[in-house]
Amino acid sequence: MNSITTDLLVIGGGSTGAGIVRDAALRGFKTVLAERGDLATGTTGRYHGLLHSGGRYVVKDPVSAKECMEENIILRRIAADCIEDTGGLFVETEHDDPGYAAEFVAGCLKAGITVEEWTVAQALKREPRLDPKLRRAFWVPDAAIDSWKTVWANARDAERHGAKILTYHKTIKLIREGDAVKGAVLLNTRTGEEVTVLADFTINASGAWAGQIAALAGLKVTVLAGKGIMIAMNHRLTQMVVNRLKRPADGDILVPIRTVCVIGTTDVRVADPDEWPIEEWEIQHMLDEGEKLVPGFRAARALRVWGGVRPLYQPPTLGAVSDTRDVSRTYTLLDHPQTDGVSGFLTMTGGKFTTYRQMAEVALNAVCRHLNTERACTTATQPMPDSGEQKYYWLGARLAQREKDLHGDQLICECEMITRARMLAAFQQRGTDLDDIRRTVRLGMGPCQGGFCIYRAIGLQHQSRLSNAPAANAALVHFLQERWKGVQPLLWGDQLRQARLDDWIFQGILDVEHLPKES
Amino acid sequence: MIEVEDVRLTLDHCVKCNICTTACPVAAVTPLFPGPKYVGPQAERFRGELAGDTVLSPDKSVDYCSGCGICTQVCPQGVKIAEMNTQARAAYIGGKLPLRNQLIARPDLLGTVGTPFAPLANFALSFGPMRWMIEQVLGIHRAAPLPPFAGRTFQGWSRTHRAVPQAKRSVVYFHGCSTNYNEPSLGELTVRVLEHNGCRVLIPPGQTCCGLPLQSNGDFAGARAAAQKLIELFRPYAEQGYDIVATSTSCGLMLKREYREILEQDTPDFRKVSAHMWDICEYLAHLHAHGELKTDFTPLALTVPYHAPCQQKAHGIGKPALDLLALIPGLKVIEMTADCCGIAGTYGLKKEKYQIAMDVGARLFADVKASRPDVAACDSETCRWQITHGTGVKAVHPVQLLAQAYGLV
Amino acid sequence: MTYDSIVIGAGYAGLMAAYALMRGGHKVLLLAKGYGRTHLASGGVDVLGYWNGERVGRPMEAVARLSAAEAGHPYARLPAESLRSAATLFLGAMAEAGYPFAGSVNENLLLPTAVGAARPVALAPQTMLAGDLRPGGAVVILGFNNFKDFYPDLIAANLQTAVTHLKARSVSLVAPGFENDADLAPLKLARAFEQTWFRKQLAEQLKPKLKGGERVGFPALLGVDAAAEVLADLQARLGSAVFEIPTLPPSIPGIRIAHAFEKLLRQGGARVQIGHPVVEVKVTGKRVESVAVKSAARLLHYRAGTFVLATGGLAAHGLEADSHGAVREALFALPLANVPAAGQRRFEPAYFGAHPFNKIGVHTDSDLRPLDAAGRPVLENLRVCGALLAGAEPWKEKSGEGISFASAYQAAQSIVKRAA
Repeated sequence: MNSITTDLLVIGGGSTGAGIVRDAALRGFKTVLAERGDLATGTTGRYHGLLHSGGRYVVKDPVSAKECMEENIILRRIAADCIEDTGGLFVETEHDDPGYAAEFVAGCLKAGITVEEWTVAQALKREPRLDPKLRRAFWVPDAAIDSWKTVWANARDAERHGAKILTYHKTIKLIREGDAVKGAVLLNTRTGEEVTVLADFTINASGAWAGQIAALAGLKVTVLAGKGIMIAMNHRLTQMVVNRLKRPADGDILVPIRTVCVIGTTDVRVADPDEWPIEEWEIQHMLDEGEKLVPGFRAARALRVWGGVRPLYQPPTLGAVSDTRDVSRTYTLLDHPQTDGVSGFLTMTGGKFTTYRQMAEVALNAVCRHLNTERACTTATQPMPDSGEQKYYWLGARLAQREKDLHGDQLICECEMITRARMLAAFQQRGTDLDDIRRTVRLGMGPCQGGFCIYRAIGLQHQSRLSNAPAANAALVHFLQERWKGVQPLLWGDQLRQARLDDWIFQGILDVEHLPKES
Repeated sequence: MIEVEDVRLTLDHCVKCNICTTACPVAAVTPLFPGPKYVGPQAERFRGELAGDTVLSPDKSVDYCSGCGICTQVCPQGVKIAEMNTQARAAYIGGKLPLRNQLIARPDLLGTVGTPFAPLANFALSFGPMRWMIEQVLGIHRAAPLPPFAGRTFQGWSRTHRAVPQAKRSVVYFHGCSTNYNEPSLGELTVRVLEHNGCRVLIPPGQTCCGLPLQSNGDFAGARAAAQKLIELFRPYAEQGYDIVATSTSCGLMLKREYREILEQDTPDFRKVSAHMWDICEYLAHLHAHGELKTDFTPLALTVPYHAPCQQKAHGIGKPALDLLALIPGLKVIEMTADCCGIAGTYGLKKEKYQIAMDVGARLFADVKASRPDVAACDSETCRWQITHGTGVKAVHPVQLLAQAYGLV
Repeated sequence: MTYDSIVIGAGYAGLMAAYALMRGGHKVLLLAKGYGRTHLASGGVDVLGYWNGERVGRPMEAVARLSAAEAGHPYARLPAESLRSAATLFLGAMAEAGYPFAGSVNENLLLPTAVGAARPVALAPQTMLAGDLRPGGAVVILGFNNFKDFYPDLIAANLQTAVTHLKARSVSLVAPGFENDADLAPLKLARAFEQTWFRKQLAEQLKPKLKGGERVGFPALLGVDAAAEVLADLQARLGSAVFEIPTLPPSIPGIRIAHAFEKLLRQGGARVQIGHPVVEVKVTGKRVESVAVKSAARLLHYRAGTFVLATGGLAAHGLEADSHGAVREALFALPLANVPAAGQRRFEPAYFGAHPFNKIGVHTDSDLRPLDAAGRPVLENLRVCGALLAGAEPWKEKSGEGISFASAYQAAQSIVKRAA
């Protein structure tokens, strides 16, 4: 059995955990991060991609609103290359209560959120696909952020400062000796090996699973799982984030993320953060809500649907919660030494992606207090390694890059313009699991949903001697199944035509069903 | 009214099959153009970022699209690829055309200036050293087929032409810049053919450019203004129910559809004019289908390869020229199957694109020559000039053959 | 403009229907919004490759069993002879066009795919024949480093496993003359094969790497319109049998078929207008009077005695499924069979599962006239053929071209016989 001794153990590789491990490493702590899957495969990798201005929360959840605005400014400073400065609009449609606008503006001013009213003409000029019957429009500094890239930037910076990132390591046991948590036992899900991590302090940053992890220490932490679905539309129907000017509800945000735009979301309490369905009514609801923002939304091509679960901490004092939307979106630090008498363990849960850095700061400050050491937080000012130039991401980047040399390299994935060199680098960085690769480079996430690029990726992997034929065959079939999950609920119109073409390619031409099964 | 789908929205129909790329004549001959799927529905997802009011277009390879439109026609899904490329080019250029393009995109301006000085201008256009200098200074290829000025205008002729008093119907003639300044005799023959078939031909004075070359070169504001002016000129005629016929098939397409589809101007005036716009062969074949076309043709023992220009195919009317020419006894018409002559309006005039255009047209040139032709027939003037340039064979509009067979020449 | 017959759709069914009608003496007009599945398919002719969980060796026999077992399948509703006759007509047409095919509807070949599976096919172009895996022997798969749609190592490794009496290995080269282009388009490479200099340089590089008795497998790029000549010349230069393996679209072998049909149609006086969709139809009672094409400024109406609808299924625009789950046949609103009821599953969670939605289509009588739920013809002078027909999953069972050709042929026969 392997054993690691460290200062801090962080459980959970989403934005909270990644933010904590970076902050910790920058503060000079020896840190280990344990994540049961790939980084950002929990809530963080599945969320809307919105860098909140906070405008959404100004009326209903002003604490959260203020946090968002503060962190919005900070993240632009430290992670500019993960952010596309799209700006955002709050638009009042004919379906919305005209009285809300005044509350909204007042709330923004109170929370320190820059807000500027545009004329409807201005808004429609900028966003010609919006409903021409709009009544009012307000600009706020919403932006689109690549959560995946941000998490990895945090993790890589942490590694540079000595941290150890252990993906595919599931926490199966918390080591509790009397009233102290001394670390954890991890299971390497790829090799089956167990790893013991002994740490002075363990931080539970496992988001929607925080209750499950806390239970391993014998502690009761109630985190509700609020499932929400999102639909990626094939191309950007708007270039800015667009919100409905109303009290937050389902399907009222449309976010342009790279080449797609994403409509979301719903909020359905589910019992198990790992098992929940995507329901037909949710999909139809998203399309209907999208139609209110952009007439013709339903006729536009829907690419893929997925869901994620929000971590909604329910304090013991609060009664039963009927609507998970009523639970605050602010974060909560559970100081277990103080509240439960169990030392060496903290839970940081709730919160939003936008506030991950602040959550990390608060968590580490608490750790420092408990360990009686004064180490200042520098994450608010120190940029990520690749963000030093403070240049925002821009949509045309991959296209402009390719224009420099149309023939020097192959495009393996044409939809998302991923070159062969990039693929080979990703294989080097991340290994051969195509799911990991897909998250890294966005392979198969364009309109053809892998119809053309998966064959090439598998072939390239095999050709580069990174997998043998049976592994390549299995990876191909596995990818088809994984992709099917997200596509199957949306099979109509153009996407059905695409899926049918892909069937013709994989079954009709390649006949993958009849690949040799065993070597 | 025909419903037109928003061009950018049609990118959703793309299933990445690359049928368009296999049909693209430009991608087949040059590495500088990555193909219609690439610059069309694929790259379009990466465009759209705004800098203030301008849409950013990061890719200059879209400028190598010739706009022939074959991609749109072969696409099984209905993606408006060529149209998307034309819009993307305009976004890329951002209204800032180089001087050369500003000049060649204004044939009516060139015609106005060149006509009174035709002998001198024509000399310059055919004089090697002069063409070399023009190439150095402006970037118009020294060998590009620039047509000579006629030294007189079709408008001038039309002012002295007395319309026939008795007629079954009246029809408006949209002559276009090339007929006006370069080939007025084509206009005269067209009028005669129409009159022969019982039409009183109205020729509205003051017809200026339809704006197509401005559109193709990325100046959408200029194209809109030009087209709008012409549409206003034709509108009263359309309102009175007159059909409008065009001998320049590309110009006809501009006022049939491109003004709305590419320039996104959907005005009531446009709809009226568009609904009455006809390509001349389409119109004559329409008369024939109603038994109203005179078929008193004398035999013409000629071998004629016929090339349907890309823009003619874009009309979606089949190839009415073939139906008409089939009526002329003795005429041996050979339908050319090569897609594109390469000129694509002003594209093949440009120094950096001339050879691409010649390579695109190579197969057509070979097929024309192999047919042992007496004369070639083609509905677009720029294509005719390119065909002659590439083969040495004289090229005429199909209407000219009709006129000849009617004995009107 | 009046024609004897108008065919809508330029896929396998549309092209075959137009051709068969033309041969039957009809003045034919073919209208299509774009090219059809020829450009996206493998380029061979499937009759039946898999059925009842088994690989089919003798397709006509399997078709007979299938017809007895699945009354809703297109094969079950066509006379057996139509498949045979359609195949014969197709073979004759391709031979006439200079692109000869071989094979028979009685026995399936076993051809390699671009991942190295072994796939049954009934008829294949000469250019693919030497790839038949049944005799075993030795093959070497050649790939080009700068052509990304073909991976010879994977193909060889899988073939080696899939076919016990076969020796398979792979070789990679940079396509000669294209050393500076890392990302070669299929058409460009296919046109290069038509050039003597290319074949010469390729042979010079490849021949020394060949072992005696090996058949050489290329990606399916052996020329666009001169494939027979390219094949003969390559074989002569290499001193080995050569074959091509279909890969991702665009399908060069499929394009050859489309070009061949277009050429035959044009030569036979048929009109082919590809590029503008039929958007409206005029029906009076049970007769189709005309169809209208969306041309640049107006609808253009075309009249004919009979009409053939070959617009494809859900992969094309013949059937339209919307976001509410409704499905309709796009032009005539023909009654559809196999539409899952509201609330019923449309697709299974497993990708390779049996998806109820896949078999939606139009049911016809044996003359290919569309039927309503009660089994009565909806329109007298309309024939429906190809992927628009209900009851098959051709990409799974490998039956696409067979269904298209047989139904198109039968449709044409029923039209020509009635007129006679």
